[in-house]
Amino acid sequence: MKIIEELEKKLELSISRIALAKKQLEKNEAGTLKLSFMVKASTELSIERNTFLVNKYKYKLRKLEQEDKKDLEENEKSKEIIRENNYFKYQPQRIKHTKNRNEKEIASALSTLKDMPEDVKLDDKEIFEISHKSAELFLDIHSDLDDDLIEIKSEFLALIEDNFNDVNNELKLLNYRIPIIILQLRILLKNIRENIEESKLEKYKFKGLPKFEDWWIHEMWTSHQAYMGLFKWKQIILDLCISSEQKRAFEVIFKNWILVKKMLNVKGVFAYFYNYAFDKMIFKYAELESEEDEANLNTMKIIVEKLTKQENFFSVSDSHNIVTPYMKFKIEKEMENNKDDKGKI
Amino acid sequence: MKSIIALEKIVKDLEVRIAVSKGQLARHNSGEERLSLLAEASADNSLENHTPLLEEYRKLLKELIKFDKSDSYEHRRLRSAVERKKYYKYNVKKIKKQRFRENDERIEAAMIIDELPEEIILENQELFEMSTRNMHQYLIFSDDSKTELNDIQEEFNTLIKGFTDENIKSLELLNYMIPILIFHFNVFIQNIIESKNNESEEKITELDFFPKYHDWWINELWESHISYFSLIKWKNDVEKECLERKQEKAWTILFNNWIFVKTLISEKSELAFEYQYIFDSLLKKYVKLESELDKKIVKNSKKEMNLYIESEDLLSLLPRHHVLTPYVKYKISNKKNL
Repeated sequence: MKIIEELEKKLELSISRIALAKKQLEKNEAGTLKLSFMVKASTELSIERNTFLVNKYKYKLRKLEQEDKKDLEENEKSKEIIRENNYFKYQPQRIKHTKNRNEKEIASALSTLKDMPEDVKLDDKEIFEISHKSAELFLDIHSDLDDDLIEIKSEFLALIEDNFNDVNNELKLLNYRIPIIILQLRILLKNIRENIEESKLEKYKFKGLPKFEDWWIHEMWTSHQAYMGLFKWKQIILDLCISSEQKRAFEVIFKNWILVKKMLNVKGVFAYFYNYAFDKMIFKYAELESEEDEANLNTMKIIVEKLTKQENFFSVSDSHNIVTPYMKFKIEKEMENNKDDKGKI
Repeated sequence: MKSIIALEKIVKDLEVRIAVSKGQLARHNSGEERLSLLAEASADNSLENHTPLLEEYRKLLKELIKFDKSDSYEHRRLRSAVERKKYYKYNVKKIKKQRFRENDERIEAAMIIDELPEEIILENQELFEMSTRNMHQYLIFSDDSKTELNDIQEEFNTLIKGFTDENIKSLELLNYMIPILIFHFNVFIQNIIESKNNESEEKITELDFFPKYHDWWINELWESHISYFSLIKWKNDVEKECLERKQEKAWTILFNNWIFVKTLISEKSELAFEYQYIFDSLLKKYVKLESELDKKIVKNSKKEMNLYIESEDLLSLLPRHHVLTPYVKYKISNKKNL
């Protein structure tokens, strides 16, 4: 029984303390050990206090022995259960008020706690450890994004499913890439909005992403003006991104978007329904839309013409490098292959 | 239950730590490596602390798996996102860090998302039909075409089999597109050879048709104008060599698909170099399409390109140019019908 064991331990400790103190006092009197006045007083006090405790523990033990041991055991068990139940019952509140953790850590721990099945009980330390790892791996964010992606994907697939035939079956290869592009642009747009709100630059009244023009995609690789239109449009959105993460993200999203749009454009009339579903979804989720007003389209054409006249076409990007890492890799690979071929001869 | 993924990672990290400490101590005891007193104590300490922790977390993981299978769709997706983070981070290192904002975590996580490998499953027959149906209007397929596509696909699959990297495996869209594209290139060149043989008495069996392209054009497309002009000039130079209108059309499609594939692989950077090399090598083998590897020639070509840009009419448009494309008209009418 726990309580008896604890009392016996305490009793033993007090008895040994008394013995040690008595020994010291004897040595002092015999002259083998010199105790200072203060130490002597404290030793005497210790004998006095521990003698009192010994009596107290002995009395308690006698009393306990008289009681029914079974009752005691049960009583102890139920106290333990209550303690444990309370530990888990108040775990969320306790975590909420943990002093040495910041808000983000606490929120993450609460989310981990919520994620656990009811029958699995973890102590606070384990909850914090798992939630720390989850945050490090962005698991909460990934999980949310996953839900969004599933929603976008099923909506997109529902829009296109009845339109496939032998001629356009190939488009199915893009079924999974498109929802990802839409989701990525949606998150970036959200970031851009937050940036503008945070910087409180009211003069920037953000009215959404600039509209793209379908003829830029249609005439890409044939009219330089189409390239310029796309390039300038991309530049405007890049300027809205603040951090290098955001800029990099848009570079990737833009490339993926233009690759898919051009592929659909090349397939022409067979892909209209698919292209339309893509545009519809990206407008719904990421507010990206095309300009369809002829007058606006013509005005923009004049603007792009003007910009072309001012553009320095010989300037290169900051990361300009004509001997790319891949080219170096390729040269090495070719040299290796040539060596192998010579070896064979 | 996403905590399973976190726990798996905790267990994996602990296993690595324990293995490192054990290795250090084993080398120290065998005399292979000399640890300082402090380092030895720290390795000992690490073993002592981490071993019971590992046991504790393994037990917990086992318990959680009872409630939720560890190979559910959600878990596979999360696990692959965690894996992909490695290569995304790897790429980020190379760009100059400006400011990291709190909301960047979200966009970073979103950019890690990629397709899961098992989402597209096509049978060989389906693949063949898909690849020939649309190109039929521009290319003439021979009776052996089906075998050719199968052979190319088999060769490609054998070459990429060795990759164990999750990121490479997940290039599933490309795994389907690449063999089809190589196959189309092959048929395209065979068609050109046939046209040439029909026109002249001298019969040829192979052809050096493509000028060499430069790798950096792909890397810097949409960043440095000169790469766009280089690519469009290269595209037009090939187009001029086509003998029929249909071949020009086929080339436009091939060019776009080639850019598509090259850009997607380039995005994966160093981790997909081997993969990109396989794609390039197959194109070189089948149709002699290859990149310029002579650094001098690559460097000198920039001057040539500057002259080309100066000579171009940058404001010119398609002869039948109209801002309202047929697709936009379709879109407008569709919206009206709603």
